[in-house]
Amino acid sequence: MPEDSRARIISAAFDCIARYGLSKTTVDDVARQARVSRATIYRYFPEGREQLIRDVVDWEASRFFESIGRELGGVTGSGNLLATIISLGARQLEQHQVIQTLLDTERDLLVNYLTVESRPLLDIMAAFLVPYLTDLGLPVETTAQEAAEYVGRMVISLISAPGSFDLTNEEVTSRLVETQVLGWADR
Amino acid sequence: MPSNEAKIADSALRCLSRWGAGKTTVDDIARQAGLSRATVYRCFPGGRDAIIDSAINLELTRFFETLESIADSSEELGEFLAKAMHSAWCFVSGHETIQFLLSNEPESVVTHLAFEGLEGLIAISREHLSRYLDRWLDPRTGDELAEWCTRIVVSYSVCPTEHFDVTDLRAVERFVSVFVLPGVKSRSLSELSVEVPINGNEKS
Repeated sequence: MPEDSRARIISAAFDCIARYGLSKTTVDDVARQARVSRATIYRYFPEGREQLIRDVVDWEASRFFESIGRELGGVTGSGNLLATIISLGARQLEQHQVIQTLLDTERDLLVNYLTVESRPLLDIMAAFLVPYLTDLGLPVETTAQEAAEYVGRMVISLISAPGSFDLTNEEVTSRLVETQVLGWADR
Repeated sequence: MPSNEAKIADSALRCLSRWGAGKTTVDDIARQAGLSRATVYRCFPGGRDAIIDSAINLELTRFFETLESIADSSEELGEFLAKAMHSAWCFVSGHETIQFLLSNEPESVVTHLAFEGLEGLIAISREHLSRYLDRWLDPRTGDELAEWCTRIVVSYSVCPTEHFDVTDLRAVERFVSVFVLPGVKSRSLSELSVEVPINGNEKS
């Protein structure tokens, strides 16, 4: 039961953010949407609004990667697979209405999650990538965790500042993966 | 004899490390520089924000100039990259103003480290690094490598990693040899019609 309530609150918070944006979403909005009391919200999120928002970001990021994983099916590791993952992710990101709206209207609030507070996102990405990287034959001087974190960091950097790289284009991501992102994997 | 611009930029850095970006005023900066408000505004009609931008650029330029002696003392590209990135990480972690702002007013710093701010930083970095990298690489490869190294330095600076100590040169050498160098080799070999030695003797 408690887990269901927590999940319901997070889902309601996401709906509020989708409707009102990050800065306008209040604890009261979320309580109303989730049909619980303010007190209940603070019981699950004692640090309040900040904690709730962090958890919503975590939750949505996990959902995002799960959906990429589903679309990839059971394919195993190869350099091209990583390129496919990145371009698939970039395309899904482009179509993610809530994130795109936030990028348009509340970029300042997202900036932290891409820089000083990027640890949660990095951890989610690294966890997602580890299984795909382990198949690739990593050099002995590194671990799958370190390599996955490295790839995650480069992807976050590219999302933040794509420069001339069109990440939705698999030719582009293939070249990136071969040269910078994956140049280090044994082939 | 430092120019007024340099004096003002330096004094801005000192004020920032003491009071942060929010509280630092043009008056503070002028007083610290020993100049009049009028002089400061003559040099920087854009006011406080223009001064701070200039201070950032000045610090960056200074940092990149320190890479010259590192480039001179490096025989191989890998050696230069490791020492340069190590130097960059030490520079950031030891920089009073940057650390103060990251801890107390991260919003003032992160705007320069994401989106257009990061694009701008990459562009500046490319300009400065290309003159060192062209000792080893063609301009295009050098350009791309400069971009990647900037992304790497920024990423590991703002969000520390548990996997290695960026202020430990040995650890950075390992990191560069595993994650950075191989990409350079595969790029230059696949794109150039003529094989170019990456470092002194080795072609691979």
